[in-house]
Amino acid sequence: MVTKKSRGRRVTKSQGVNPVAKERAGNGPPDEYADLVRLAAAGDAEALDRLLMRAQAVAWRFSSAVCGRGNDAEDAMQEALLKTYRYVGRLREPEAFRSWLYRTVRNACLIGRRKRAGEPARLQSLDEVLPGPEGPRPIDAAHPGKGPEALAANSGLRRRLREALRALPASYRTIVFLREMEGLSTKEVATVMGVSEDNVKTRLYRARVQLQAALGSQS
Amino acid sequence: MSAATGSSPRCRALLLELSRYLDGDLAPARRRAIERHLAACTCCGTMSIRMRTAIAACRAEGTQPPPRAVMVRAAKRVRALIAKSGITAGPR
Repeated sequence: MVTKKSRGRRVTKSQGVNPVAKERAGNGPPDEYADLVRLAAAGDAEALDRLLMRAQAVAWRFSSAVCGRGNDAEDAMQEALLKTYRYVGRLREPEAFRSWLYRTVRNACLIGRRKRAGEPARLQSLDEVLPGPEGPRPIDAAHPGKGPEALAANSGLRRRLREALRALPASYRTIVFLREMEGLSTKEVATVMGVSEDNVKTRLYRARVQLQAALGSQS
Repeated sequence: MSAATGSSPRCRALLLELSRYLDGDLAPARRRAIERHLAACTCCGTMSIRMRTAIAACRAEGTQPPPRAVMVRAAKRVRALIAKSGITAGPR
């Protein structure tokens, strides 16, 4: 499949390839996990250390983004640590580790939560969040000429994003986390979530529509 | 091709594809058709920018590292686990 880079991101006629996959700080490209698993399984202590630290970082990020912070995060990190340590020597396909890790972390976070705080009582209909006859307003009306990346760095926007994420249903929040923040492909997200790729794309679309509506609101 | 500032039924139908367009998940011909529409339609063009901003904000949020104190505790857990080595089926 032919790809080309556009402003540092890969643009492709994709099968769910995520242009952000290479950019994740401290996460590394997908095949780096496979290399670490092979080395760790062969007795490389440094590789094992890095793998266990990575697993905990994933658990922290997931717990923070999807489940909320506090005790849940530390519990999820501990669970990720122990399961990775147990699993790494038994894995027949190191390339499958990444999906396994996110699935494990997700299960650890979801089992650990007693009741999801902030779960919206109902899902907003698209009619409520798509633009009406007057059309959509720019997200940052004060700086209409700013590009999306520059706007995204705005601290006020980040705060609104976190609020908007909390307002999403948990499954949407999970998909946004996996796809946008962690750089998993559509296929990988579908594997982690146990749903079809079309389901992932549909939920991702709905989540994005809600997020852009929330970021564009006055409050 | 409409240059309307409002959202027509055609625009709302196109918006269903906007997410896939932004992911590069459309055939070239369809991608070009959407690009032409985004250039000509203020409503859809603005929605595209808003969605890109939301996506960029999510990605920026994803690059935030865990707090140092959190990773210090994580490192202690790793050292304790490896030192203890009381868990079976670890690396050979």
